[in-house]
Amino acid sequence: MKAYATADTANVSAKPGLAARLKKEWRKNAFVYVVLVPVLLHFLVFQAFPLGFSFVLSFMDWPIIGKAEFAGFKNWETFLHDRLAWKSIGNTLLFSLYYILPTMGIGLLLALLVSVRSKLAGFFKSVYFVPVVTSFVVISGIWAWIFKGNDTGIFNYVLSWFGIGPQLFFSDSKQAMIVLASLSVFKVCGSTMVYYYAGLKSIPGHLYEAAKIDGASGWTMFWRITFVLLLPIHFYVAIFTTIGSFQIFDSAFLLTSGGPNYATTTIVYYLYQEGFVGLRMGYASVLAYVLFFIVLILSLVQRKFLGKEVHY
Amino acid sequence: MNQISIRNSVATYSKTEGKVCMFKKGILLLAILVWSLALAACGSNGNRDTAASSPPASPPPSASASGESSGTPAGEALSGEITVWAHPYVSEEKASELKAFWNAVIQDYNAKYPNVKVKYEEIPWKEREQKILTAIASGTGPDVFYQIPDQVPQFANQGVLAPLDDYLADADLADFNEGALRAGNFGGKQYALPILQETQTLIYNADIVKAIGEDPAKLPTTWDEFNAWAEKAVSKGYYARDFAGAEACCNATLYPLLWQKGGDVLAENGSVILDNEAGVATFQYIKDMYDKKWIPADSVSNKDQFPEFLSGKMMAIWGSGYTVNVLNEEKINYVIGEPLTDKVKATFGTVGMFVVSEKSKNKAAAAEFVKLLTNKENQEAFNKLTNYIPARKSAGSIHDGDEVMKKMTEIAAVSRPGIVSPVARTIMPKIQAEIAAMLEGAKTPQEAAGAAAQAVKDELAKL
Repeated sequence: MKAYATADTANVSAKPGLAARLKKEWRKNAFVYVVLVPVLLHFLVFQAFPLGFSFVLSFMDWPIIGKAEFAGFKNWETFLHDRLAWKSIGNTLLFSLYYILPTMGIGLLLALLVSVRSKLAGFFKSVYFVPVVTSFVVISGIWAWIFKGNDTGIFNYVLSWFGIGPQLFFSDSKQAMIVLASLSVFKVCGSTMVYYYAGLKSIPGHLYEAAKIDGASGWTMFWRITFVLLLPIHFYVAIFTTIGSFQIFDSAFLLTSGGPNYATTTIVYYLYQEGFVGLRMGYASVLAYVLFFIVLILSLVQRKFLGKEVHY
Repeated sequence: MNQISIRNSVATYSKTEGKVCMFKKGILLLAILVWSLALAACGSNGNRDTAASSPPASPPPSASASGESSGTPAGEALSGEITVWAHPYVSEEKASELKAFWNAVIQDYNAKYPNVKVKYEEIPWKEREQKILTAIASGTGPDVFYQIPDQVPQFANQGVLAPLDDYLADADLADFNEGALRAGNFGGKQYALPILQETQTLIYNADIVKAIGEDPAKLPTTWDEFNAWAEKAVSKGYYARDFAGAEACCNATLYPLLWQKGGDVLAENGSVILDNEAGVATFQYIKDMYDKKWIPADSVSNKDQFPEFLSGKMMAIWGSGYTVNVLNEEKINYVIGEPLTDKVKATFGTVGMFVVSEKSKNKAAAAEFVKLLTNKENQEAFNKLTNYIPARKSAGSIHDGDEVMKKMTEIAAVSRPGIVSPVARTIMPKIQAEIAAMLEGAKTPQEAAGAAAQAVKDELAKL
């Protein structure tokens, strides 16, 4: 021990040899490194490499089944002038607007409901979570059925009780996005409920007792204590719903094929059309990177405003 | 606090028990992990859906003697291995009959070319796009595979299909239906041979026809006659026909009407004529149908209006052989209509073709397989089993006993395979969007046709 300390102080300006450090590191953490190897390999092959290769592809012209040719900045220039690409970004932002806040709000509401101490709380927790684990294709089928655009659709039938005429839903370019967003909200609010539930459980009970003594109403307690102390959960849920909302593809693909009149063409749907149907992988890579930058910037912004530490 | 104490104890352990022990354990773990990774990699390579391979044990081959002498080097000289990808063309119940068909074809082939090993794989319909794209991109694709008219020009344009012209001297090309053969022709070269056709036309609900006071035996043959019937149907509270504006665009919705009006998307010389007089008139006709409620209000983005027809709300539905099967099951009285004529009698019908990959290491053997697969006998056997229409005129009599299929076979003679161009698939969502905008009232038919034509021009420019 003492000899080691001396060696260390003597070599304070020159580091101990690299080989010696590596050997020490290996001996200490061999197990950790060995377990990490397959995980790292998987990450490298399926995440890091495609990420880098996509960037390279955005400067090329690659029809998947043909030869790849260098195209310089042509794809990026095309993107700047592509009306449909900008429309798809706009559609995606619109979708996020219809999706993020309702998902968080309804998730929080459900979490509050199931945190009531009742025998049925567990049952309802499962019920609310069922859409999350149901196949997207199944829910899309149900939504297509409910929101059929003529008077035989279920939702239109319910509306007729209130004297409202049949709505076109997926056949109306103004309503289509809202209906799609409602599908995603329905599917995801179960998982946001779970996160908020965990957050609710971690708020110390003595805060509520103190507030009650001070004469605070339920409403005040919720907004001053619960809502504020859920900040880390808000941050986490906001980030993952944002990232999810920008990647929306399945419902546009299954229900509306990007229509009517491009109203539901989201950026990932457009990317898919260009890359896999149009066989223009270079341009699709540009779209993918644009999406990447948008989500990155949004995440950083959210981190700045919501990522503050919480002090009880 | 806890972490430091654990680390201390580990450090103590390794010091007291020996550093060598820990080192050995690390190496052992590493070895196990590497070995399991290797196993996983090898395992995934071995998984294949092999339905049949040669030579199988099955009934003696059907006579493959069409009296053809091979235009290629002597049969025995072809050797090697070819992989054939096809799809489940029939339902589960008939799967074993389909397998028997393939076994018979392969046995036929091996009788002629005994040194070529044929490996057959059945690919589910759902995955075929991704599978073929990734297979070709990685160079592990099949030698022979199945394509439809929208795909052949796109793939041929990228140079991934092998032209078959050199091998077709004895393939009796004149026997093929003209439209079917054209679907496999791109840039003057023949890249595919068709095995099946499917045709689409208006199918009428006989009960509704009688309800509006018309005779199901005297169906409309021209647009004017149909329009008169449509007016009557709507006045009695029915829809006249369907218009599945989403998925079915544009082969099953716009194109048949456009062709019947005497128009097209591309002219013979390749120029865009979608917004010429016939084109605008067709867009106008669709808008009129929508405004007059001949077609349901959600035609803008509906994928499937079959339920409306099945529940007796619609006079006619645009359907094919598959539709007929369902109608038979549902016991609906139907009558099959001729394709309508305005200036031209035309309709849409997809064509199933087999192609040879340019990357094939055995093109001659693959081409010979395609020729054999699409000869008269095999077309008869295949289409009898799958209930499609043979692409060869000489095989056309197989459905003579079935009135419905006989009618479909006749209609196939005026069927067109769609737009034969590499942009065939990419223009569809764009044309669909313009039709949707028009039906919503955002654009006039003239503007919509013009915008659609511009979209086609833009796509052609990207080639």
